[in-house]
Amino acid sequence: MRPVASALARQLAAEYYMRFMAFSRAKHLLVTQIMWPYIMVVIIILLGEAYGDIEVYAGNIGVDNPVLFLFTASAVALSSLSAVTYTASSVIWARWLGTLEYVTLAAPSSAVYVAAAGFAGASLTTLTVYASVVPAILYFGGLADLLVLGYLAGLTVLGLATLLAAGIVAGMASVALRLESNVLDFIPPLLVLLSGVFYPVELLPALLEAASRFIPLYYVVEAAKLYSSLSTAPLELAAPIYAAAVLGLVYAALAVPLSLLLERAMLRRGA
Amino acid sequence: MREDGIVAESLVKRYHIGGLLRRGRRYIEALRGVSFRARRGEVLGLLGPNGAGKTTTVKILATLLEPDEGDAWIAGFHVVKDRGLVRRNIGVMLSVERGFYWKLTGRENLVYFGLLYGIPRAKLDSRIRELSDLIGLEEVGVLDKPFEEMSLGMKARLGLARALLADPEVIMLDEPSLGLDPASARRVRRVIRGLAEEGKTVLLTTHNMVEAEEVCDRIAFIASGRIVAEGSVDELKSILSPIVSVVARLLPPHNEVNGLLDKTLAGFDFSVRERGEYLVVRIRVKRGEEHLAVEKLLSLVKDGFRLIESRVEEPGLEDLYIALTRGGSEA
Repeated sequence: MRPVASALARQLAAEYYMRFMAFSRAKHLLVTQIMWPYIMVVIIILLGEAYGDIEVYAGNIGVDNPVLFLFTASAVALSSLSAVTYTASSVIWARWLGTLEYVTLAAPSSAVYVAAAGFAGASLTTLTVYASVVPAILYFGGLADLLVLGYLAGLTVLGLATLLAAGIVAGMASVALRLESNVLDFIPPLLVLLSGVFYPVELLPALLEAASRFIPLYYVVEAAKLYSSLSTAPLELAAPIYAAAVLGLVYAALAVPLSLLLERAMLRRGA
Repeated sequence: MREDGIVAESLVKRYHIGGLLRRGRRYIEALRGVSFRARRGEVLGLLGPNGAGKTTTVKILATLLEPDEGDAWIAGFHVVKDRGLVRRNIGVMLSVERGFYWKLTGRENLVYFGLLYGIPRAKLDSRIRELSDLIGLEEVGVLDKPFEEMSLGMKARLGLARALLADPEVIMLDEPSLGLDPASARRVRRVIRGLAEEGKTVLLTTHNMVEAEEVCDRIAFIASGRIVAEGSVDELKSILSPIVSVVARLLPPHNEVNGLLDKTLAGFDFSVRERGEYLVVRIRVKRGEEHLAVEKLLSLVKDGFRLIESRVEEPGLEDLYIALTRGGSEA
């Protein structure tokens, strides 16, 4: 366990270093991340106004302040999705760059590298996205909402860890089975739909609604909904996050034997 | 076994044909029982045509691929059972053109990989300086240039620096001088020789016969997944080609000398080519019987020929490569 923990720590240090350096050379990526929640919210509100009523939308989704909810949900969704996509894509990205063999040689197993690369990427995205919505939260809410947002951001970072398992399995599977980006193309739309970020899961067919209860992201979004009801105290917000964490831990436990199997496949077939 | 940096015993690797759902019994046998050893302080060259199994062998030894059969040890550690320990003792260079983050400079890439390998940041800076002096990173501007702007020679130097970053016992270099300009290739060769003199074990795969002859202490020829010959350059030449050529440039006494040559050299395997007013006579004899050919040449001198020059020609490594690998074509 100790070698794995120390390998994970040094891999995280290396990944953060690399991403800071890469961001410093490609500032447009940072600007895109900052703009993303605003673009999402504006598109959804414009579409909502064109085809319906924002109040009806608020009623359907069950929130008091729909604008505040959309900003928070965008931040939660983008951060959580990045945990899956960064983790899964890190291994494919490394393969395209030709760095996969070298990073694999530095880790006790490929899963450790994938976890470190994914967490580093996702946590930086979370930081950027939450920082970017601060002005909007202050404008549409107030200082108290900002404190709750900070609380939610902390819980989201913890929640990211629960989503890593899915990312690790998806990334390793895509390389071991040579599926490349097909796996990644499939995951984000499904997660967005089943999480209830922009569309209420209660309005989905019964089967999909039931499936949403098995997605950790659903509980993180539930926390965001509670937050948008200003009467909700932070302690109550934690409940769905803990549900997400428990579900995430179950998935992580399932991911360990699966990632070991995929590791064997990678070693047999070559990455 | 500890005195051997690399030991490979009967390695077999099969790649199954078809995808996940079409996985049948058909497969390509990339390695068919590859065995060799490389001692500490030795540069072993692995030579063979494309598809012969060189890269598969290197990947198995580097723990990136598991063999289907056979065993291998690196610095005394088994490549499957002690994978983590093997990884701590090797430095690998698999490709010159790729393998780095394009936006990062050479120095930033080395820091990134150094951190991955667990080298403390303070030591890392001094290690990069050492490697810069050794490989000449600073003198060609590798350290401060983004990888995407580097020439092939600069990329090769950076790849070599990464392989040596953690000061490993065993270094594996897959075609390290492929496509390099002569100055960069010479620098790479000099570094490789220096590593062996420090007691490191180096496994080098190459197509470049001049490089192999200059750098390698021993050579293993691989073809169609098998080691077809192994030894020092001299051993290989003597074992694999017991025939040498005695070559003489002669000035004939007159134009009608063919009958005389046929009569004098009867019983020898020889060929004659005209080069202006001279004749170049090549007599192939068994190693150790060169004097018999020389005696015949001297008898030609008695018949009026003038001997301008003569020499004994060894078969070249390239001749051996082509002979052993069936023309050096795809296997």
